Amino acid sequence: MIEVINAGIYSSLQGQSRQIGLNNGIARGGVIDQKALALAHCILQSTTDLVGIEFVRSKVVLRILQPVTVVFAGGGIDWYNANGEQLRYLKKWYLEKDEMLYGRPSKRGFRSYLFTKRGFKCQSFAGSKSTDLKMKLGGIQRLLVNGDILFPELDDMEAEQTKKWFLGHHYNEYMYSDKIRVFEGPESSWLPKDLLNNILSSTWFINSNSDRMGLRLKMENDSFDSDYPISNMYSSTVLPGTVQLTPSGPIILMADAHTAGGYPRILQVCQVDLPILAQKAAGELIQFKLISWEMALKLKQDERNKLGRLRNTIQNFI
Amino acid sequence: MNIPIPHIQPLSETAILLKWEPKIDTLFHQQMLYLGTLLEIEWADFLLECIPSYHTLTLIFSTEKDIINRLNYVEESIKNFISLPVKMEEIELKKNPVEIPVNYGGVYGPDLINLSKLKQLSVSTLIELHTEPIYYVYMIGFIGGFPYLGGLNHLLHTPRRGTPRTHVPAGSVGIGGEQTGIYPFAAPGGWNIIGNTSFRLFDAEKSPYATLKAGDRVRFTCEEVFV
Repeated sequence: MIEVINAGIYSSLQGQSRQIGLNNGIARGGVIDQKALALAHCILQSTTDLVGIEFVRSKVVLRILQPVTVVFAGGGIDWYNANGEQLRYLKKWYLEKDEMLYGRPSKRGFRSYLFTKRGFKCQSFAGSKSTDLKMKLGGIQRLLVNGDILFPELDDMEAEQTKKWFLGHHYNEYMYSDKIRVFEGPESSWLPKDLLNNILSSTWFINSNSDRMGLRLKMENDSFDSDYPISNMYSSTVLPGTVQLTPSGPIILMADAHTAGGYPRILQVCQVDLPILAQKAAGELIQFKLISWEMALKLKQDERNKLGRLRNTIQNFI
Repeated sequence: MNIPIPHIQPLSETAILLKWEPKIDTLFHQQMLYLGTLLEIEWADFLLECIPSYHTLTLIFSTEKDIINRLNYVEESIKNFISLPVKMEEIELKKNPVEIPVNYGGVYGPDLINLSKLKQLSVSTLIELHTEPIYYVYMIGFIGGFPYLGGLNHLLHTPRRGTPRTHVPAGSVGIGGEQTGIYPFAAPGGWNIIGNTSFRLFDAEKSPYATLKAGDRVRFTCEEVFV
């Protein structure tokens, strides 16, 4: 059992995204940083779908009420125990009863995750335990608040840790990148060429009204001129990573986005770069880099193979 | 079938978009839905979902592996299916329209009186205009269970409110632009709310979760008027 003493700003139980449900209007959901989830999955050698706690950069305090093994993934928070020792990311930590976890905001990254080997006891909805905050389904059907008690699904081998090892910091290097690779969206040809080039060559800042639904972008000094003649379109399907061009500027849709939209879909962020966006806070900057869809596929395949090899390496090592 | 070959392009690493010329047309839409059903059957092994909108179908695959090959086959499949002779009677959905009972006005429809003044129509005329048509569901999207309905009488077309409400109760029936619809969940919203229904658009305990789907027909009925 884990007691939430200080829940932080916007914490919720999140895990896998939902693979089906768009026909019912159900958002994909799940962790914003899929790479953090995948790395934790490898380290924990989980065989079930993981659901963990997603925190954003803020102060968090947790008390361990029953021994449990955890892994921290992502960034945005530095974790300490009661002795002031830092608990590093991407390493299994066996926590005893009455141990405390102190999370302090860190400028390295933005979203921090705590995973246990078999997830948490909570509601499953449409194939995932991730919390859909709009529909209040899945997880504990809402954000975490002070005083919540969470129940990890326990594993018989909680204390097993005969070899001390961890994944190096370079596994978290992705969060320092500001290059977001994109390919053209269905309505990219609607834009005049110089407007599209302007969008692709500009520096964009994450606006403060960004959240799990989407990252709203603005230019330095709000100088993006959105006064161009662009036809309206009938609502069509959108996915996490879809970049819509709205009258107030571009928005990159994320996991909790509505499933249909009426703004032109000008770009699509390649899936391997979505974790970079997951780790960006308001005020941080990004730039787009245009690639082909075929390249995006190759990047995804390469990533999948790398994670597969990592998982095997860990399996053989422990 | 009497529909052209769509433009085919990738939407994401695991999604392919079939796009036709923009139109809001039930006859076209039903054929498009039928094509979607045929594709779902043909590709059952790796097609997770086929999502319709007004004039597009989005094919969601279970993996990005081999999707480039699939892209080629998709075009072939579509050409074959479209060239099949099909009678409209086989495609047209014969179900009776789903009835949605609405309590109009009062605390249920806070914008009804304003709308009546704006349109210079009596409340009873407004309700008649709203309950007369049989609406067609073009797609479910935006949020769980939300139906995009076509067929709103043009006299009722009303721009969204200048200032959206921060909280619109679940079941609210409203008008936004050229659309009418129902909020399945409480949410912020800018639609003009004329009534409320207890009809459940979304049930997490049922399968499928959304009560309505693309191709369904719907009609509003007047339970009671509160003014």
